[in-house]
Amino acid sequence: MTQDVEMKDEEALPQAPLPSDSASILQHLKEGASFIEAASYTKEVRRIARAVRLTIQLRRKLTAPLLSAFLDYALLPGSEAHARLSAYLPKVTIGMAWKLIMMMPTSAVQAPAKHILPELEIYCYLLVILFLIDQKRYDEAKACSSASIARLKNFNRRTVDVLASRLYFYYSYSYELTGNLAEIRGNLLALHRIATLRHDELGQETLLNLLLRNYLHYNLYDQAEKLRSKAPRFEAHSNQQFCRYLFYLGKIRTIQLEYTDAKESLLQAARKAPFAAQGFRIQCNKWAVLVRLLLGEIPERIIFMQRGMEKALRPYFELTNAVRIGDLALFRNVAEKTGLRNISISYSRISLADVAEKLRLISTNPIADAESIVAKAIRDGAIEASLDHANGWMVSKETGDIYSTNEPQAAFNSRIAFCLNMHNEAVRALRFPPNPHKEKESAERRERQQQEQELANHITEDDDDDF
Amino acid sequence: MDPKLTEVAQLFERFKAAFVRNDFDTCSNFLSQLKVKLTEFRSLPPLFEDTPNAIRELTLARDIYEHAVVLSVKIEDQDAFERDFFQLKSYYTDARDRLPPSPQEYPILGLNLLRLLVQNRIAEFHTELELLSSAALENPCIKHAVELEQSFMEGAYNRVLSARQTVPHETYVYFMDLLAKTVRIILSGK
Repeated sequence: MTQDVEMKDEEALPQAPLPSDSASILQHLKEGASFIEAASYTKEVRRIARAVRLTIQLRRKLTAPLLSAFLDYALLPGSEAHARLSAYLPKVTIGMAWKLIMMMPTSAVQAPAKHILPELEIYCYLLVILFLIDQKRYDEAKACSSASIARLKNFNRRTVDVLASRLYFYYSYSYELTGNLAEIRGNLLALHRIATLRHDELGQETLLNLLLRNYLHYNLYDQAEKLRSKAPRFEAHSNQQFCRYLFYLGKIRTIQLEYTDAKESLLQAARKAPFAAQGFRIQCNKWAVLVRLLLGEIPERIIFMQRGMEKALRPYFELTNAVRIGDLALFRNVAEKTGLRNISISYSRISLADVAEKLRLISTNPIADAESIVAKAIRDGAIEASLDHANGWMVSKETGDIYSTNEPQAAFNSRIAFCLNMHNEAVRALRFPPNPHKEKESAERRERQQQEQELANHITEDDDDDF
Repeated sequence: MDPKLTEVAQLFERFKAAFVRNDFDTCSNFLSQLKVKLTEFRSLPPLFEDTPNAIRELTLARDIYEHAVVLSVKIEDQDAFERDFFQLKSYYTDARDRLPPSPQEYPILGLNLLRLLVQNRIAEFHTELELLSSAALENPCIKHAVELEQSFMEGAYNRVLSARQTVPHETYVYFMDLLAKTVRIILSGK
């Protein structure tokens, strides 16, 4: 599980015509900056989220001169933040003249803000870190992200939260890339505590996932589960974070042998993940296939044929096939029960020696082994059979008409429950923009009420007149 | 040498002498004194401060807790085992890079696996297993516990019962007896 399962937080946006040359990229960055400025003044968090999405689209096109031009624009040249961030960028000498040209139209359009907004400063940090990671300069990315985290602790503004959660992610990611995740565990825990105190739910969500990832990276399932069960849970703010959480939960449950729960989490994670997050979905599917095999289920063929996953899931497909045909030599410890179930379906009566041979039990006393294994399977309810010790037989019970049992009802119920759950989640996921008509409506209603009141007054007055 | 460290080392020697004599009451007595004294060292978990004597203190403390675990098996106290083991565990995991490996590590980890098996805490058993390297899994003490778990899950109880003869370490006998009892209870419940 050391493979990169970074899930890009790109939502399936209607793709804006992507900028082709540097000038327009800079223009886009400035647009992002203006979103952030506006958000900072109006306290609208959603605009910052929009700026972040815009940035992710531009990510691959960032270059050093471009960034330094943007830094000059967004941060006051000569200020402390500016100096600190520029230090991470390679020096541009030839680019200077070009940069000046770039600056020309901007100064005419908009004068830079007099004081630096914290949001904007953090945004610049995010850009620089993205750039450094993409340039594979991980040590600098580490230094830069650590500096940004230190800076973040000073701001307690809700509008910073969205940017902060992205920074946490890249902070952990840069440490993961250099292979020293264990170093930052204490720091992440401290950040999680701060986020909890500030009611920064998105930050808590992100940090909880990072911590789980951190623990699982070192196989510390015990700690991960303890943290997970104690950390406060609330309704998910970000779909991506929720997917990750489900995936980690599924992994923990698998190790704890709670396969039913694990399967549910993993399948849900695979389904909820955005289509672009291919690596993540492959991981989810791999784990889900294993868990389903352990449960004695045979995953459908279609799972292995999903676009872009055929190759990655190939070994899992072969494993599934081995289980399906019943080649026990390949997966002895995985699904003895499945093998036994197949035997009990195929034979109404079979000697224990044959069972031992079919299950390929290798020991000094295979018949005794087979007997105890069958006994356990009967007790666990895996097969419907009885043992004849005197003759050394396993006698399978006739499978009666399945429709006379509660089985179809239970299957039907679980499907209905699944659909209802899906529907409820879909309804819950709907988002509405703050309603601009609402105010108008209530104003109208007030007016109407007033009119009615006046009318009523008139009537009573008329009544009075009658007397 | 630090006088505090010398004092603890001497006390520990007396503990070991009583341990060899199988005088377990005296041992428990010494052990609680030792534990109190260990709290004064700042180089031990959870602080892990880098003091000049850190390595020597850590090694001594690890040795003490290893004896504490074995003692708890001998006086057949499972709760004490769990407490001592968890204190010991952080020496094996968090201080791994700084200390030379202990020869007792695998026997004790195997004992813990066995305890989880006896107490039927299978989820924790597998969580612990995930922490072990593939080299550790080859160790006879660990392998013993892992194979037991497999026979246990498959229902090959005859193998569980016969495994008592092949214990890799004398301390394992106590848990093997308990395990045999567990198996008999399960079988009689059928």
